[in-house]
Amino acid sequence: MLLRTIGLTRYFGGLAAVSNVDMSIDEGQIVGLIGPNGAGKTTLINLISGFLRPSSGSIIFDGHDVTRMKPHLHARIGIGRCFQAIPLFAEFTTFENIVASFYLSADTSLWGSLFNTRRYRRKEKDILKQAEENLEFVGLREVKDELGKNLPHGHQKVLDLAAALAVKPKLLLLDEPIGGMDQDEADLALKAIKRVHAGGATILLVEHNVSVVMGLCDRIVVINYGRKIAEGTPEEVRGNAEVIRAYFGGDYAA
Amino acid sequence: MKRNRVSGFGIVGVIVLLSLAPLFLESYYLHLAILVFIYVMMTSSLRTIYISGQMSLGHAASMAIGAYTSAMLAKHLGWPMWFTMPLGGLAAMIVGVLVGLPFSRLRAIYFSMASLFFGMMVTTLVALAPEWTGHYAGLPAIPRLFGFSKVPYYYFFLALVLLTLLILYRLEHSRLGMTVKSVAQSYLAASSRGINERGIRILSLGIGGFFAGIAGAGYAHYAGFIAPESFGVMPSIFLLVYLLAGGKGSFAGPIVGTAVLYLIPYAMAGFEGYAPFFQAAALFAVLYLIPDGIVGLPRQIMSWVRRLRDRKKAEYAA
Amino acid sequence: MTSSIYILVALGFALVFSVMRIMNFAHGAIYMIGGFVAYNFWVPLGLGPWVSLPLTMLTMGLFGLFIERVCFRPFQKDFEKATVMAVGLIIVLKTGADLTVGPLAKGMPPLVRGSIMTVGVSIPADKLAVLLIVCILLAVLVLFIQKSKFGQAMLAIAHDADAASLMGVNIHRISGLVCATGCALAGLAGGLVGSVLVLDVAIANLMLVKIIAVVILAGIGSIGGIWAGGLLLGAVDALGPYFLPNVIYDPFALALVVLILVIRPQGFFGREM
Repeated sequence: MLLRTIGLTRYFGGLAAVSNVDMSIDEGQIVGLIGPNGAGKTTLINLISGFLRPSSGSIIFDGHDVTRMKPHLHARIGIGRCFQAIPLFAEFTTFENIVASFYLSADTSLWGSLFNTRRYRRKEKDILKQAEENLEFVGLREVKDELGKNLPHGHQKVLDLAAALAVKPKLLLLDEPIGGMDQDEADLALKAIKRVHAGGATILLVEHNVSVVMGLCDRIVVINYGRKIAEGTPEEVRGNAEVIRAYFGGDYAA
Repeated sequence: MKRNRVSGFGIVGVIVLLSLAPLFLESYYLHLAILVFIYVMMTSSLRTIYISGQMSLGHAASMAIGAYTSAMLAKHLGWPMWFTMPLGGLAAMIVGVLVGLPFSRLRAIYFSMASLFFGMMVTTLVALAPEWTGHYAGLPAIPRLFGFSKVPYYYFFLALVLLTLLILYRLEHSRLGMTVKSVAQSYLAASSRGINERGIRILSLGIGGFFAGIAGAGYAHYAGFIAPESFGVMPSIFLLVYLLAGGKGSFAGPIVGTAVLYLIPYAMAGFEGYAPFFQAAALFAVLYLIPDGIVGLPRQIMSWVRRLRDRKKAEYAA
Repeated sequence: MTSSIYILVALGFALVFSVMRIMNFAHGAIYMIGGFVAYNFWVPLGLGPWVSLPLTMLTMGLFGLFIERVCFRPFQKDFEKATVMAVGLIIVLKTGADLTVGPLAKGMPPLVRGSIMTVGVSIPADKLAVLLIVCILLAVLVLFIQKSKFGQAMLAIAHDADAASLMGVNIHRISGLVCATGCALAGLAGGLVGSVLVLDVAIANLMLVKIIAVVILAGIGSIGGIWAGGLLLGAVDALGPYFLPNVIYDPFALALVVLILVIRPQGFFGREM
């Protein structure tokens, strides 16, 4: 088991955005996280990646208790993350964005930086090579030198993905990876995601487009009002009465 | 990211010229040069902090810390200046880090406000131990580095500023520098890639503080006299003005900005009082007309010329 | 009385911030200039207080319109540029003052002479008069904000500028008026203070520190908190030096403000920016 949350809860004021969620993800799976708007999906992702502290409960990743860790440490342990709002390094070019994300593989010591040591140079060469590979991998070669802020929305999302890969994550959290994309961009992104998965990463993705999730994921977790209301394979979840009620209200049991 | 490619030969040429300057410059001009060197160190170290996304309005305080630490240790305890000066830098760096611990949590405006207050606070600290600090009137009779002639000072500060610039340049153009710049652009993205963005900001404050402290200590042992008002709010603000007017986007920005703006009052013999108007005017020019600062002037002029030419062409065609 | 002055000036600052989302760091300098302008109307031109002060408010108000239009409007969305602009303004205003007024402090004759005996304590009448004037003015201002269309528009913009403009509020006009008001108030404060204490170029920075402190105490974005913040600061300022020797008071007070800023940037009443 790669990731496990136990009784994960987070309050905002008096409201529980995430309430007592028990979840587990095994290595190599693609798990989808779905639920109506405001169900707490992004909050859950924020908790797992360390950007929010839980009010109670715990998160165990790869044997480590990451419940109280700062976000950058989550990244160092192997939890990578893409954002819904795509924070990018706007003034950097596409290529520079990816290179900058290779921080963990870089020599950032004062000594190395100042004296251009062999170790520093070696790591630099490595990073540049890997950055090129990432660039190819997600198909952004043409816009390599375009400034981050000038990229169209779809490309920015894919860039976010390429950058997240730089931390060589064991678990990759994707928050609405194809949100706001047209069909072509979405195909590009999905292809990239599948290849990331094929490369050995475990993926947890939050997505509104339920059909995409159904087609892509091994398992699906459904959340509503902060609670887990269903879990299982796509078929199981599809037929689940509670899930249907959550999305459509009333009784529409298929 | 725009990079200013000044040719290597150009820089070497400038350095050679500067090294030969004492041969044909009078003492007064050497004095001005020394001051410019010192303030270039200050402005460049301010930029080091700036590129991490923090706009400090209290940088002169770091200079004060370095100056007073070194001055007091040398004057009252008789310690050798070659020892007290690095200590001054170290003191400023430590304070920078200590202050950075809480301050790095603050976002843009709040940080600027806090740094403003902090800068002010430091200048009021002189009143706490007046026998040591000389109170608001200043600390006189600080041991000086060399004798009467300006020439050794000139070379000393030339070497110091070149060394500082070299170090800062290498740091900024290294992977570390890129990391710092990335933190300024998006702390979310940076964190998720494993970058300890708070740590980076604190580091920038430390490094920036260190060089400011060294500059301050150097100044103390050159002038032989320091007073709190040289390190207060207005000096901090002017440092920022030099940085922004020169061009915050490039490494050469603070150098050019300081060299040009700092000397304006000296160039206006008899009318020094009006000098700040020109400095402010330079600032406004940068704000409204040349966002890249003085360093970006050539490029800006080129783009104006080009636009003018295009418009002429369009009129011709129509 | 000190509190009331702080409130007056800080209010202008806070209003400008709420509506224009710009921290006018030059506000302290404006306060100082106002004082000198008032002085010039009052003494050399011999116009006396009851003419000079309104005239000062008018002048500073016009100046406020000017800086809104020319200086701040182009940089509304860009905090960094706006700050730089304010810094430039500070330099220009301070230098102007340095050149025209010089290093000597100026003072104006008190509004009302003599003192009033109450409860066994002799309160100087001029300070009382200032207090009275400020209170009346603030009361008028508050009523104006709450009852008039301008006031409503102001609050709307402060709350959500985009929504306000969609509803037909002319943001630029209101911004200009708010800036003008802020400057007028600051100018008046300068004039009043000049009659009670002395005017000096140095007061610009001092006042800036105080009003930022008030705003921090009150909370960025909160208008209501200004009252409390101003009162608190005024009290502390007056009483502090009694409890702590002056040398410790200065850095201590500043450090305290910094501390509050660090621990709770929203202040006591403010909302998250």
